Amino acid sequence: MDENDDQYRWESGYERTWEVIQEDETGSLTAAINAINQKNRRKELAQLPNVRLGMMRHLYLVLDMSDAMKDQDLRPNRLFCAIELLKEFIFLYFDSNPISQIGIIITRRKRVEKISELAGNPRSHVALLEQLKYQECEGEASIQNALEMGLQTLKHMPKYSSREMLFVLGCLATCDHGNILQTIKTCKENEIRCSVISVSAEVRIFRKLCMDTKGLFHVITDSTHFQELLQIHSRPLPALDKFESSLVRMGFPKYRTYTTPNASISSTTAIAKHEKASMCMCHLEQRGGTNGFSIGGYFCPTCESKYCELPTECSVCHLTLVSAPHLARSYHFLFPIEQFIELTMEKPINEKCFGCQQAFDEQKHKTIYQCTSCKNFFCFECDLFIHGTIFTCPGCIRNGQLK
Amino acid sequence: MSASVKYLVVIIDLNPIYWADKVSASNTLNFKQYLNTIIQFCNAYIAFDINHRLIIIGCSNNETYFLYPDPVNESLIIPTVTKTNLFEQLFVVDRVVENNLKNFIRDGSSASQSVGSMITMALTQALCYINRIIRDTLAGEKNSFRILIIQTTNDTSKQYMNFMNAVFTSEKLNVPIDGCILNNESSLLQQACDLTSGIYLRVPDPNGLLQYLLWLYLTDKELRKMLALPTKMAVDYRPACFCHHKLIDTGYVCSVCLSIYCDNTSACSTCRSAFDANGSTDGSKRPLR
Repeated sequence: MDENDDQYRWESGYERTWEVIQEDETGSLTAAINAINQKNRRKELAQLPNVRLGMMRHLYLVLDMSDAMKDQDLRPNRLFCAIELLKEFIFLYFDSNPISQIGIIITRRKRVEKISELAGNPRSHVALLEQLKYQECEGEASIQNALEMGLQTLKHMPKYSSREMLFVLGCLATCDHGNILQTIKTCKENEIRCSVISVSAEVRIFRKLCMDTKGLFHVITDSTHFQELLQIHSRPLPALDKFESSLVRMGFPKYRTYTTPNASISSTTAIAKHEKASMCMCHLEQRGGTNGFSIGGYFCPTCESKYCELPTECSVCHLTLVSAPHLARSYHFLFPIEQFIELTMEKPINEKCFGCQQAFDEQKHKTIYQCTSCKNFFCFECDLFIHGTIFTCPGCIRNGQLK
Repeated sequence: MSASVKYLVVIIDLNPIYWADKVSASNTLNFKQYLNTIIQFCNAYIAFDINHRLIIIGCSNNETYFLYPDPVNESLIIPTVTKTNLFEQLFVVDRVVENNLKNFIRDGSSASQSVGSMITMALTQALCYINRIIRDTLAGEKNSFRILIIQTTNDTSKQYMNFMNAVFTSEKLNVPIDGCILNNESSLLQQACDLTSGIYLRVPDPNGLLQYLLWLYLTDKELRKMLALPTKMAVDYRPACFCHHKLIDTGYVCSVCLSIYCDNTSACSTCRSAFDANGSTDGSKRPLR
């Protein structure tokens, strides 16, 4: 069922889906299917203009580990498949939202467990997810408990950030200790957006949860679809109405190899003698081992505590520590490039693709694409690559289309 | 020897403004020597391994040009046995690059007043080209890619966002960017090399360009582990604030559009959202979890 219509598939009109597909002269369907695929892929990348996005996100990932996840309709089983895809999702998420945070909660035996707190390091989350693979799935899931655990932390998150929970559920019921409708209401009041990806079937209470909290509800058809859905969630969603805006204080630490403050980086050997190895704050809690004991590190500009990786939050003074590329990574959402216009090639033109330098060929390139501002021509693959990965039109750089 | 094909994209900065006063200089590297050096390096790269492939892109202050490979012109050149028994492939490369360079310089209009080079444009085109090769590779083949930027001009801050977008793409495709700069230090190029784990070098003496190129940039990622590379400098990742363009240690970031300010402001100049005056220190005074 599609996100927006309120009708179930079996209630809606009769669709002749096969009539879209036309055979070509030789009776082959490849061309028609390619055309449909191309259209879909372009549509995916089309961005809505002038929509305010929730750029700073606090997201709790809730993974179902009930009995239902042992099912083998996804290979090798639901849990393995979900974990593999979620690992990918976490990297995608931090790629699109570099200063956001993520936390993981699991639910089984009618209880919930917090696997990781909200944090900004993808690798530690992925390592924890990996361990979950070898744990037993048993009992029933409890959505209410998961919601309450998420609420506890998320309601304290600042108003300007987007608070979200993403459920990956295989169960067809929830086993709760109280009235879940009340909890959903509290979520709504606290503006926590809950989205559900169901790996089994549509369940009314899941749908209600998503609708009330303005989240997205999806049921997967197969693992590829699952992957696509997670990709949707990895991109920042349009902000809710009651969203506040504010200035957030952030620190931009410089990588230094010694702790003497205000010393210049191009040190002579005299200063280098003072190099002292020290423990970084991120590995302080892990007793034993030499992890995090080093000479270099990022030092918080206000309190001089040391961290080995960015972005992070200073555990002493609670300053968000980031570096400029982290912020730059999400600028493409803010300054998206315009869609290229599609042109059909009627007569052969003596041009080549401005991106990959491939000469246009009538057989291979049925449609070509033109940038509206620099008027250069691109092939289909370059169009996709430019809009989906680079986010910069090669031709427009000349005009310096920067703010 | 592994059968995987290794591609090297060389982006050459051919900005006329930099070379204008060095056309016939004798004490420092002049344009002719510069081109000769790069061709020598390219020849060395091709001769190094049968699986090496080369792509050369030239860029001036407003144009880019694929100097090699050029499938149209390549067929016109018939390798002739020269006096020095030059390797056939090198002969073709030299001629193609020479012809294309002549065309490029002849056609280049000086209409644009911008001083910086179109490095970013060349970089995005290189990535598109690499993307095409990746797409065309058959299953089971494993190719590796590398980009070398030889830059002579200063950074243009106008290109910052586009350049960073290209660098992130390169990071995603697992293509290291090597940077070699002849003039002043380039912080953009330095960041690019650091993010994609390439080598960055500011050539101390331009007369020794060929030696630097051969020692550092001929080898690929695996071989570099065995070489003594120049010590990595700490890269300055501090941003400049949008209001005064000063480098800052701590600043205020707009929660909507991530613009950076060095002091409290009442409204964001980029996205025009108004800020709550007392909400600004929110991030640092949050209660403990």
